[in-house]
Amino acid sequence: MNTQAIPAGLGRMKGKAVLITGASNGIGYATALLFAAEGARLIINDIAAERLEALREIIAAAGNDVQSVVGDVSKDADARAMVAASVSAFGRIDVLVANAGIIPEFDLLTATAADFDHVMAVDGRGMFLTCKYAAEAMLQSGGGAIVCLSSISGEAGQSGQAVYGPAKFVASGITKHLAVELATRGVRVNAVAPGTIATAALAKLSDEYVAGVTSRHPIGRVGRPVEVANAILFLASDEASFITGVVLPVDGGYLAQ
Amino acid sequence: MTGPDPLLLPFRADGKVALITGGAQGIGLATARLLVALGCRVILTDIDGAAAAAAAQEFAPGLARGLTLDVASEASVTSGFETIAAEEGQLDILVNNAGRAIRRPSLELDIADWDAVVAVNMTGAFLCARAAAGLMVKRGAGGVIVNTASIMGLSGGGLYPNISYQTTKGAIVNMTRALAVEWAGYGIRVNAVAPTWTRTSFIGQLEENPDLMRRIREVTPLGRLAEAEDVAHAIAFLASPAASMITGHTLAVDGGFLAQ
Repeated sequence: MNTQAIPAGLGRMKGKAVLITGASNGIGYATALLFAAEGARLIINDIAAERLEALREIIAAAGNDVQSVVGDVSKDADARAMVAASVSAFGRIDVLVANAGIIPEFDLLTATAADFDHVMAVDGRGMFLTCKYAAEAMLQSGGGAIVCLSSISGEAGQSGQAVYGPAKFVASGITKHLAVELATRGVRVNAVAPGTIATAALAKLSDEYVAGVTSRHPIGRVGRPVEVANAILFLASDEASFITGVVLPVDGGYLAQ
Repeated sequence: MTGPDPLLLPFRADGKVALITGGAQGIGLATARLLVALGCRVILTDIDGAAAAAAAQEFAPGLARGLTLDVASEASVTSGFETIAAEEGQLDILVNNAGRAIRRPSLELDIADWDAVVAVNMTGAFLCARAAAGLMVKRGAGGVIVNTASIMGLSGGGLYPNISYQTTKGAIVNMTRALAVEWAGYGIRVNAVAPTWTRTSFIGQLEENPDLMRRIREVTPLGRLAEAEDVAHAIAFLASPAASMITGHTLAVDGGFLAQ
């Protein structure tokens, strides 16, 4: 991907106020660039301040309205502040991409209670908090769209994901529950469930794990962050205005097996 | 890299040729309009060839053509796809949209009616998928198939008996998975949409029952029926390069029905 220049898109997010959590790399980074190309006004969040600022500069240089908010989605005050930043800057929030998460590799016997609590705090509670405050603000302005990041690990059992997997089931679950709870009030909630994607997080996993999981994708390769971003864009756009409560795999056929 | 990533213009389908069964009306025709807007040429097929030809008339010359095709007939499908191969030279997208429903209580359903629905919804979808994939494999450039399942292929809870429809649409969900896995190595993606009740002539008689319409809205979290365009947008997304890592999935376009 050419990360130094943002091409003109089709204007599918023109004027929309969008919060993307965990935007400093991988899927969040690709999503921020794609939404910027499509005309979004952006609040980008991450805990990694330097990388986040570098992304903000790229997006700002393309002429987009963009602010960065350093913060941890698992902390109530931080989650509130991210949403408040959008309301303060743009008067509203139209789209939340609840992407922030961590992807450690733990099997059941090595994971500790502290490991479980840490992953659940970021991937589970962080998603709950950002959805909660974003939905609260969306209801003030008539509606919006939320896209949560689940995973194939949030839809199917795997070996070696005894902590991350259940945390991603939270993402799939919260998507369905919030979709039904918020449907009559103009907020759609969907998720994407990426398969193995070529990100920095993937590079941290063991070669053995990556090789094994890649071979289980019928399409015969791992995905690219932008391929997930495109699915997020579709679900967030008005073209998906009748789609809510779905978990859309972007997995090269992994879950079809 | 010299230019922008082509996937950053995700929803275009310039230069592609798409065949849409049951394309003369409803979801099929709405999909054709969208795919043409995205840069495709479309072949609209219908068992009523005159209706397909008439539907093609609304498009600019060269962008659409009608074709008589009875999806339930192997001979008709073979001949239709031979025509496409000879006259178009390529087929990039198949939208398996033709379908029918005979809504009767199961205890009263004639086997002839069962067979008629199976022939169109299940066998027809397979015949067209097989014929399309044959052309795609021969050309070696991959392709995309989008099947039409239904929320009734993923739920036993209809508001009236419709067993042959529910059974065949359930079959489409798993046919989609199995063909996606089998043909992934050829670069052919296979997905489906699962619409809820959609305001087209397909549900025409049902719309005359206001109590049923009220109940449909009640069981749909978003509180309305789908429009043909809602479903067409999902089909176009799945057919586009934007969905290049998506295969084997049945995407609900159901206002939250299945999330309940």
